[in-house]
Amino acid sequence: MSPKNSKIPSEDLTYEIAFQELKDIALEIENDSVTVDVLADKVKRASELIQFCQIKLRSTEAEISSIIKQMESKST
Amino acid sequence: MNTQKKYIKLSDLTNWIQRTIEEKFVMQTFWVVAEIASLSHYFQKNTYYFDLIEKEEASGKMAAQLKAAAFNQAYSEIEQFTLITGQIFQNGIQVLCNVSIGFHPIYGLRANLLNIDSSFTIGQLQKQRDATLARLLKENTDAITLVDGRYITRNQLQKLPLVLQKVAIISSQNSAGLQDFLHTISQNPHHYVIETELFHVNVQGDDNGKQIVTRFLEIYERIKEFDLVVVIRGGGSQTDFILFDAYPIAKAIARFPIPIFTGLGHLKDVSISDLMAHTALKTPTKVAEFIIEHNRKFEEYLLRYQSRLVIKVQEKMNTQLQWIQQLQSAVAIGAQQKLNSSNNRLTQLQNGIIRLSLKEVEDAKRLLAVITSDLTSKPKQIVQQQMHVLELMKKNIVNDSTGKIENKTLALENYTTLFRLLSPAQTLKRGFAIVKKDTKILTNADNIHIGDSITVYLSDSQITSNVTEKQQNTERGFDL
Repeated sequence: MSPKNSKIPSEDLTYEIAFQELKDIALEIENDSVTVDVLADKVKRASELIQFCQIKLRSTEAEISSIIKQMESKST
Repeated sequence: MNTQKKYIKLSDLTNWIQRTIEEKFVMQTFWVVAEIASLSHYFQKNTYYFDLIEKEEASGKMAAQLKAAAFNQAYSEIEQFTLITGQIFQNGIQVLCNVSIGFHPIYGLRANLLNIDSSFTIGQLQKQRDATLARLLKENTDAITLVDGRYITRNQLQKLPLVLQKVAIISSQNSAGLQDFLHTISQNPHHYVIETELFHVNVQGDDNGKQIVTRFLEIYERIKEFDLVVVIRGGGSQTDFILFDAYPIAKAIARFPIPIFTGLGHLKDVSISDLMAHTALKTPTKVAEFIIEHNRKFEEYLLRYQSRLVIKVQEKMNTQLQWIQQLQSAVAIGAQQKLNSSNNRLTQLQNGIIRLSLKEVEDAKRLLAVITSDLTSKPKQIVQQQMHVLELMKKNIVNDSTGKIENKTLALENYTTLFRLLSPAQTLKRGFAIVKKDTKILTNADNIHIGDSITVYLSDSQITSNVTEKQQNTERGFDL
């Protein structure tokens, strides 16, 4: 897995980047270029990206940064 | 010197003037083109006071000036005029108006506005508008082009971000349009958060849009903080709409580096600002709805991708499952087939072995039969052959030894004669007798006792006699 895919949504992640990555994942899966072994990871990442965008749509900048801080403190 | 001059009262004079003017101008009205100046507006009295002026075209010097007023009916006509043209009745505008001329003893000569021609002003405005648009094209060739009657501006070519969440608003603080906009944004049913910052302008001001341009510059300084600029106006007054036809605003909009939405609250007309903006909507509420809808579309994309992914993943898992099942049954069927074919081969081998064994037995039997028949036939043959050989030998012997045999026969005949001569019968005939006791031939008399019965055989008879005497033979004549 590339480092980009393992990254947790951070402050650098924009709608554009998230959506592009989501499209890429969808394309990969639809083109059958994803093996079943990494399928779970891809789907997990896609779901993270969707969730990130949905949270971001409904939160202010300040709320977003606090959410990100929480996620990062959990993951470390 | 008391020079008594003839005089009249001022009021007599003004009355006279009044009468004279009224005589001259009574029942007459005039259509006049003039510019409005020194306007006073008395809302309570439904009255405008103003000057009609004319300037020299070249120098701009005042060429004519006339006090004027509009009351009641005329006041309504002006309101109507503003509604129709979008042009506020204000200083500096050229109008075509119908006036009557009157004189008031106090207020003096005055034109009474009776009607105002909307189409003239519309024409004027259109001319102005055309001039502004032509200037925009001419002076901003890098940012504005006209393609098939449509203005394409740099702002329109700005890509809308996927989500519009940070919005700079240019509006009057107390505009009803702003309230509508903020309400629609904050009450959106999807609970999207949209952060707004107001850049206040007093849009009623008659500064040819300088304030608005200043606000654009302020936003430009912080351009990274915003996704979008919204220019809204409205509620009630239609009069400041014309401001958005002003060149500086239109230019700023056309060149602005992030998308601009307009919601100027004018349902019929399209301002030059609307033409230059990325997206022009009729009202502030519509702008808010558009933003929400834009964000909603993004979320719908997300959800569509989500369901596509879910479906695809399910399909993929099902396919995998099917493969596994197919493999499983292929393995089972393959194993069964292998087993069956092995069984068949085994059976075939078995049958083969049986058949071969039977054949072997048959062959052995046949061989045995051959051997047997050989065994049975060979001895005969051998015997026959031997007999044949014997026959041959016999023939040979017969043929080769006829003489010998004849010789032998002669000898044999001699012997036969001899033996015939020696035979008991001949001997008997020659006078000898055979004595038997109890069927045994006696050669001596050792076992003969007196009283014994003996049988004497002569050549032609036998005589049984009892022994009465026994003596040693003394006769020697018998010995040869």
